[in-house]
Amino acid sequence: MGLLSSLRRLYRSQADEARILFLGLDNAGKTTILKLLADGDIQTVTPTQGFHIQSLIYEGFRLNVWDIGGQRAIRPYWRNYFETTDALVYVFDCADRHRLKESGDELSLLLEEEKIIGVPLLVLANKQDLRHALPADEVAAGLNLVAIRDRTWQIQGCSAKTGDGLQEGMDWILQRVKNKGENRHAR
Amino acid sequence: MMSQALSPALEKKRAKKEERLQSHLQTYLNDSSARRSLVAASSDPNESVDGFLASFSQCRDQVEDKLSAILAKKSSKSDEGALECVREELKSLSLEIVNMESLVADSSFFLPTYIMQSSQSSITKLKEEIEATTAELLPKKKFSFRSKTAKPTKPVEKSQEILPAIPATVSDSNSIGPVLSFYGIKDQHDCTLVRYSQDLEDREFMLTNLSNCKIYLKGMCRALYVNKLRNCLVCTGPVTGSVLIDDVEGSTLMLASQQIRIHSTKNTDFYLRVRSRPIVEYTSSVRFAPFAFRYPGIEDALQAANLQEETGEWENVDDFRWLRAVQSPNWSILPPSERICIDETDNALKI
Repeated sequence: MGLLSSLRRLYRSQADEARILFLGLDNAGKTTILKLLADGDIQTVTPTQGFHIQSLIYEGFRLNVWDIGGQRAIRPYWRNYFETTDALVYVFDCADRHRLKESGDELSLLLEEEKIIGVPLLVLANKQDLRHALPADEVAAGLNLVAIRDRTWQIQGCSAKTGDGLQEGMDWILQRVKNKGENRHAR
Repeated sequence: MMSQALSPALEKKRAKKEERLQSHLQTYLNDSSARRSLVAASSDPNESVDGFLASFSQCRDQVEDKLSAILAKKSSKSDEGALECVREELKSLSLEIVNMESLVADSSFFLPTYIMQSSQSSITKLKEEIEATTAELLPKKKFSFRSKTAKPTKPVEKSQEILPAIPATVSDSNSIGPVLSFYGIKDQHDCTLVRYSQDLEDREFMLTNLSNCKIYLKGMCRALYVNKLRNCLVCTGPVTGSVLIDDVEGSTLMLASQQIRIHSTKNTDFYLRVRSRPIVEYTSSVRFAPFAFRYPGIEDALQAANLQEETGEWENVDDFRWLRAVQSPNWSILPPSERICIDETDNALKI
């Protein structure tokens, strides 16, 4: 991996570009959020097999977002995408109370991964438009975000259907990746 | 020839590899828990988030308690001496708020943004309450004559209005239950249940822990979550968002939706109208057929959900546990001769 990854690092080290990873359980709404941010059309979203990449331009900054499928059978492959990640976005379906624990377990495994130590984390508490969605503070407690000490993190309630909260979330990401040098202690 | 000779050796190699992977995983898990406890033990108590949360919530509780004590006392008597006393107590509460603010400020360099914000908002809330209480209980001198007449009933009302709001905004402890609120059908056995559009419209619906039930959802909903069904028949109108199915056995489901994901399901027939490939994983002996549920008004509902057209996507099933090119053994197409149709068109007229 050595040569390839150092090449990749060289390529990415351009100051106005960042690599963002979108993770979370299946049905969380990762692809829908991205579609909404990219072109607004969420009618044709299908479950993600493997991954796809979406480039978003914000304030002249290019965010290359890697949207990775969240089915249980393919979660072991998440780690293949960790290299040179500048920020992590973890999406949770707030109406899916049954899987709050499962999602929390996946997140805490994720945060122990060496390659993404210190990478800023944004948790998107999605589907706030549904009537019985868990509010963001309960998601924060359920995912035990309070225990995170090795990176800056933020939780943001949002809805991929209405777009509420997404701007705030992306603003936070942008702030973090703009001064990414300060945020990453380990590589 | 070659491959035959090799295969036992390969087999052995693979077994060894699996064993090694297993032990790696074990050491990894051990390591991670050890690391975790190490971090917990070595962290400076003055720089711990937990420590901050503990002392912050302690301060907050104290202020709240004193505030409600003041309010309770106030409603019993109201002479000048008591007023002076109340004034002193409120002043000390304001001082405590200042202390809480400096606690947050001191901890700001290690606190996550989210906790910073929630602490600040609960401080603001407390401040507002103290101000409100002050305004109620300690009228400014020049207005004392008028406000005295209004005093006896008002403060009590106000306190009830404000106080219940506090626990809701600051429930950042770990007191979270598995299912706090629920909308749908749960824990039912041996029954037939029908829900109409007014029960479903524009919200998510859950079906949890049902056995030997017949469920008809004759309307549109936003999302459907199905969990733990045994020997059930479930027929639904269009779901505009997604359907998530987990742990279903020996059942028949008729669903129309944008996306359908099926987990850990056995011996079940699905009749689907869907706009993306149906997903199965950890699933076996499931069969698929096109959607065949009718009730008066379903055509309009399907139209509104953009699901009126049959695009044939129901048979393009993807098994995430079967990555080979050949057909997955876990699912099949239901032979046309065995398909059923649930037609509730006449049934509805009776109701």
